[in-house]
Amino acid sequence: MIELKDISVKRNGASVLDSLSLVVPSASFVSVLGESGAGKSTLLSVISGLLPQDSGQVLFDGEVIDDVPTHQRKVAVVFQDSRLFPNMTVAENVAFPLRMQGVAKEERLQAASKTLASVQLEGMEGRSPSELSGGQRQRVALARALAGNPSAILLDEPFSGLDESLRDEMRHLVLALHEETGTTMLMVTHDAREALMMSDEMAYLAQGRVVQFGTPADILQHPAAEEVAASFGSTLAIEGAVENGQFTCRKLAVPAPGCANGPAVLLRTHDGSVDVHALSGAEANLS
Amino acid sequence: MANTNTQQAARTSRTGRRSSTRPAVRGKVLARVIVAIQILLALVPTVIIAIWAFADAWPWPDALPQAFSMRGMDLVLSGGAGGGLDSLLLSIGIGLASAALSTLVGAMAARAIALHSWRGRTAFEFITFLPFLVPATVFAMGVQIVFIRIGLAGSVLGVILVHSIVSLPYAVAIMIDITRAAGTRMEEAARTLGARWPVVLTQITAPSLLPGIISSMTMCYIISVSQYFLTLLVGSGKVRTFALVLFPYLTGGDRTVAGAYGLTFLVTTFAIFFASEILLRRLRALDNAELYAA
Repeated sequence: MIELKDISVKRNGASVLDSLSLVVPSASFVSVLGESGAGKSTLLSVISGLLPQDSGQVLFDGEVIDDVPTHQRKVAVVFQDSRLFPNMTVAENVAFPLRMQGVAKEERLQAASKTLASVQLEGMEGRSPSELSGGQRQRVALARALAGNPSAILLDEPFSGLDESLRDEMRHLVLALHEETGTTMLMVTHDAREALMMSDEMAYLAQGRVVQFGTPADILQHPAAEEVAASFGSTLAIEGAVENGQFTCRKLAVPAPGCANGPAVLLRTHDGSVDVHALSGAEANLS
Repeated sequence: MANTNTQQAARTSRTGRRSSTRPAVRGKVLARVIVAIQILLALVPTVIIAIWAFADAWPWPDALPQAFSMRGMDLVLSGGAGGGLDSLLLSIGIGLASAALSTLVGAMAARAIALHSWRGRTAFEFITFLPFLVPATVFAMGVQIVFIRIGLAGSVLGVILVHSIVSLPYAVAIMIDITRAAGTRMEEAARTLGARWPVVLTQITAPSLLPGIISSMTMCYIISVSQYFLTLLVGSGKVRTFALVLFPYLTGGDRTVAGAYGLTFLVTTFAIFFASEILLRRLRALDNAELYAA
């Protein structure tokens, strides 16, 4: 469990994080949604220890870790720009955290191959990062973060450099790995659909403060502030399926009483109403 | 009908290509001419030096020497007091030591300037470039007095230090650019993956700065081995580097010996950089082999 208590960060006199508090429960997937400049990346830097906060506390599993240096925090970060080490092969990159833990060469390379297989990159071990596509690079970054068996993985806009088709594939992969490994994951994004579909819980961040925290369904149906509602855009459509009166898409679950089972579309219109339309024709009105 | 259409299309595309490639071809020819001139400018004097190194008598206006001899090369490559071999080895040693020293100091200064913000940073950056502005003679006089006082005058260490000071601005300038380009992104990634600072320094930072380190060391080495006045003054004439031994032959008019010294100077400089290039490639290959040897 990651806990942030009253975290404040100032940069050049301006407040980036303003007594922010947030709890990320163990084994959960939490998203932080917000516009650029809201302090999302700074938040991750504080958790990973790359940027010490000016005031407040960071706790891992109830223990204050403010004095623990980055390399001992056991939180891996997947950056938007991959940051694969160019002087190492794909396998060396993935094996890097294990090497830091003193794992023997043979063992760590075997583990790297296994992790690479879990992100569908079998046989890429000997490649150089420069030979990979953007999507492949981000998979390697994900594998590298997972390989060291960290207590949490922080994802900093991990899909924003990718094509839309690749993005959905990557979201699916990340969620599958989250389920498989049970690693706590905290993702920062400016894409509301992404946050709604992937999270157990999500926070909306603005001006360095948490404006709203809750389940995706809750935030979608009852945005606490104008800016939260505005983040969904004028209309938001999410494709999913209805089963026994509940609409689901990945992790997003919204009750849709009376809606027929089968493929459906969730629509949020500019006036704030959220409807689920079964693609077969029946319709459920939620607000 | 369809046939004429395709023919027409082919024609337009052909003419289109011709008009678009013409400036490109012209540019290519121009580029080749410029490169050829550059190569000639470097090669012709080198060839003349190389011929002089083995010439015994080459009176004007003969195109080639009348007689050849090994007199110059024998002198340059013989050991002992009168020979050039000792001074050649001394020059290489001083050159490598001062190149390593100024690149190390330059890399640290560049990091402080490029990656950290602190009070007085701009002033510090300006100070590192001051040796560019102070005339070498003025600098040499001042340094000599200081070195005499602290007992470094006339010593090899003193010469290494003074060469490092002269080449430091170049090292800082080269290292600032590459340090800025490399940034701290990769270092941050490594730290979050469990790397402590010595590992970050050797596995992440140093490899990313390697091209800059090589350029900086090359530059500083060349500056060191070609110093004459500073070496003479600070070394009190006792530290007899290659440039020091070569100089009297240039001014004294023994072109055979001067040519032999010049040629040896060029060949050793090239040899050292080929060797370092090969060494670096080997090291990289070793690094990969270490990980893949099952």
